[in-house]
Amino acid sequence: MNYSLLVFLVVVAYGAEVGTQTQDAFILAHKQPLSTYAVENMDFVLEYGLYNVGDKPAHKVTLDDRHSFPTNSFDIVKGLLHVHFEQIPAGANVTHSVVIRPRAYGFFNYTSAQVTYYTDNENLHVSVTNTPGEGYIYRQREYDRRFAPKYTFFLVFLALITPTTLGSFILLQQSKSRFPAINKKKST
Amino acid sequence: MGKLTKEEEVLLSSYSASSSTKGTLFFYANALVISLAPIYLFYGVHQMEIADSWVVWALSSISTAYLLALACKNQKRLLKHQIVMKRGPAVDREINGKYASDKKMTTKEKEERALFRKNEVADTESTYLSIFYTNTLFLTIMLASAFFLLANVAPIFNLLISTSGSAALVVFLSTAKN
Amino acid sequence: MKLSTVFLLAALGFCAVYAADVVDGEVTDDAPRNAQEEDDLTVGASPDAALAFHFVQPADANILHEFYTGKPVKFLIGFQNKGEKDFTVKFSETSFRFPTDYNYHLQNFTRAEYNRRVQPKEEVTLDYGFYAHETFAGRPVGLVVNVHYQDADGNVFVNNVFNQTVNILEDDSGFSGETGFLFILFIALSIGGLYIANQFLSKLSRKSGLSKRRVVEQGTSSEVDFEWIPRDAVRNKEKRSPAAGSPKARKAAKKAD
Repeated sequence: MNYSLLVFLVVVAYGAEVGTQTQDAFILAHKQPLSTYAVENMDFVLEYGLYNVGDKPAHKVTLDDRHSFPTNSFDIVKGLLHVHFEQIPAGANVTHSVVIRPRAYGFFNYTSAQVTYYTDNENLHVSVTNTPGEGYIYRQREYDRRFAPKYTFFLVFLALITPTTLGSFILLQQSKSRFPAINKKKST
Repeated sequence: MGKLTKEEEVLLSSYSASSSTKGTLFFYANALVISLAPIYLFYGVHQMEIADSWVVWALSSISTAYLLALACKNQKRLLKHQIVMKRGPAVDREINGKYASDKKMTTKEKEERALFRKNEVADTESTYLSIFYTNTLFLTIMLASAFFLLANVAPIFNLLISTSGSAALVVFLSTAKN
Repeated sequence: MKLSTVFLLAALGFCAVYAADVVDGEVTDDAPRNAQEEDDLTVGASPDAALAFHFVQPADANILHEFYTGKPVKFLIGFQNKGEKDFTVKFSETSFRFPTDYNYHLQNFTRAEYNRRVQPKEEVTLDYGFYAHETFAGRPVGLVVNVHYQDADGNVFVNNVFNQTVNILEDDSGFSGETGFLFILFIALSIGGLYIANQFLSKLSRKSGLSKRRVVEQGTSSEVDFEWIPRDAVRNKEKRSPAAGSPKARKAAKKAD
């Protein structure tokens, strides 16, 4: 009797699993820019994070962000905007970074990337990342005005000044040395 | 009074404050270079756009160059007198040493030559000294005003006021009647 | 007796099947009794939506539940539409509550307006970030994150995605102005102290030096230094030195001369 009761409980327990279907893979996709400023013709780093908060692994995970950075406005310097991961285990996460280079300046709307994955029971899930929103791509000149090193300009400035200033000083010393003033010895 | 003889004219001209063509050339060349250097510096440090600012650049360079040349001339006039006083004995010694063996020359001629040489030396030395003095004064005042006093003013106004203001100040200082 | 025990156990077993199954990190059917603690007594979660919550920054926040003041805390909210109609995620609200009484709001953070439409069978990730102010340092606070969304028919739902007590720790890594100025003050005091000590010591040494100088100053000899006096005057003096004494005596000496 006890044995059958135990079996009955075990069957009920398994039945609970099948009934609610809460133990599934669930991927949270995060997209964030890591560079503080987006400047034209300068490298811009983006980071994508895929976090599996479910209890089962997710299979055939793909991340596609090619549509938000068209090649006529952006160069891809490093990394791929379309990646494929075979499996993300439960509780694990993946971070993926891409370096791009904007070609033009102006306002830019960062849209979301698309993530697709399959859960255990071959269900296709289509997910969308968060959107960082609207940002501004600065002109090279505006960025240089604040962040570029300025000492080179000072060096060239000094080089421009030196010929006339120092040259005249040296000539002055030369002609001065040619006519030394000799002080007569004064008797005390 | 009568008309001045040729000798007297030559003597007067050698004493005058107006410098030789070589001297004035020095002054103008120096003024041009020193007026263009701050413009390059502002272009680099503040990343000024050429298309927007060339008017201000032209204005600043012309006014600064003119004022600096004026200041140099005034300074030279002031310094020449001082230098003549200082170099007098040394030049006399040089002339005497040079023509000591020559018995044909009278003392008066030697004196004249000494005077002429004194003038020449004082001329060149005062040119150099005035260029050096005006340059350093202008540059220190300009740098101090551009990067400390007027650091937060827009680059266009900063450039105009720093360069023209410093040049005007240098001219004012050079007109002192010592 | 055995049959009743069997029936009791069977009843317990069936309850286990149909009770709410809350898995770590995933919140599904929220019975209205959970929402009694909120002000929206009648608004609960929709059974067609599955929400998930995950901290992104600081990296170990999912396990430790500890935040540092002044450093950004970022988290993701996942929204899964399991129904047949569109959902619109309106906004998420984050707040700090008093740890023992979750009805008392310590701080309400700005609502993040998403207004994101989620198609059926689709998922969306939303993010939010905030800073814990330094006044909360060293205190436990209750962090509550609610997501408000509505479906295509206009029904409003609220889902609580995070509802736990977290510890706010002080951030010691940065350079604080207080220690910096204290350091400068100590340097200034030490310099002042050295200066005063120097003055004191030099005053002492100067006093002894004065007495020494007095001894030196007494060193003028009684002899007359003849270098400074022209010879004529000396000769004259030798001749005509007046007799010491009253003016009368001097007159007499003069007459006699």
